[in-house]
Amino acid sequence: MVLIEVFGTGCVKCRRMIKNVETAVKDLGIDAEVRKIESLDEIMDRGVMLTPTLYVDGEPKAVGHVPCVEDIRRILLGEM
Amino acid sequence: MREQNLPRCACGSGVEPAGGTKRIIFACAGASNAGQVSNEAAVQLTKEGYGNIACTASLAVGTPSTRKNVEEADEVIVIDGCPVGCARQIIERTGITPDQEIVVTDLGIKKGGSLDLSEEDVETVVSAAWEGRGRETRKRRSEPSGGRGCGCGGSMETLVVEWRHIGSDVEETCERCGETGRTVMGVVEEIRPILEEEGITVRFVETVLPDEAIAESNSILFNGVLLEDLIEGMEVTSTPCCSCACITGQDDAECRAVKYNGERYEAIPPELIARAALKALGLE
Repeated sequence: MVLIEVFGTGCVKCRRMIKNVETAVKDLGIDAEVRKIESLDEIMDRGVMLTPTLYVDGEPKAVGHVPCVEDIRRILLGEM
Repeated sequence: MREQNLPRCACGSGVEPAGGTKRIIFACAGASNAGQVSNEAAVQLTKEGYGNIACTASLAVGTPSTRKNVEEADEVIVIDGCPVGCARQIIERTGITPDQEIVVTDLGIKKGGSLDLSEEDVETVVSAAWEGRGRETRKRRSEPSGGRGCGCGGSMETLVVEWRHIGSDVEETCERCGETGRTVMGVVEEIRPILEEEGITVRFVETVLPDEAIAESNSILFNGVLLEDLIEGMEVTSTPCCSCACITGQDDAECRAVKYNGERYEAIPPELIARAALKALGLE
């Protein structure tokens, strides 16, 4: 199972990141757990200093910007 | 100490994060719900960090700063309210090829005169952009036609037939408008395969007008040009219409009709619609 973490405090970009991740996961039909991390303490504890940020299996894949659905698909397929 | 090192949100932080695709978005912002949805979606996409909305009118008049912003972008996105594609046409006339074309009515949103926008419609368009669905439209348009087209990969010719009427649909509009509507749809279905053989895409758009715009009801446009402007000698008139009065809640109402070759037509006959279509394409 792939662990996808979206760090963000709930702003418009963070909400879109979640939607795009959910769309990409659905398109690919992969087994994934999508976690929304909205607590500032947890975001800071993980060393994230700019939101929204996307981690896949503990690796940062996008920091401070929202990748489009196609890019998220490529990230999840290991192409990016 | 911890407060000084709080994470920053990319929304309005002034931080320009690396790694994002630089996109520029042009919306048609036309005078219909679909046109205004295109604009609202462009605004929303800008807020979400998808790209930056740019002024389509400014590009049309050749403002250098807008042109420069286009040149610096990785992708050019066009959002048009309907298949007439005014924003796309403006962009193409400046020699720019859009990377994505999103047409609001292609996403199942009906074009109408009301300017009350639904959040759901805006979200549909915004999601389509994030999903890259505009690339499919672009690809279709760029495919060599094999017919009239030269095969160089340029744009396929398009005929957009727009029927305007009051009332919610073909069943709920006035009698003559309904008859015109059914005829238009029939003609479109008849000419579509023939014109597609010639490399011409035919698209049908139905525009629901508010009751106040009754004077425009029962009209047909071909690539944005009215039927009566395409056929020489045709005149527009109006005649009393009981069902229009009923729909608009008035005691009396008049609805559009046309006069041609000494005949008056309240519902537009198929031969005149087909002829106007050929005229619009320069085939007659």
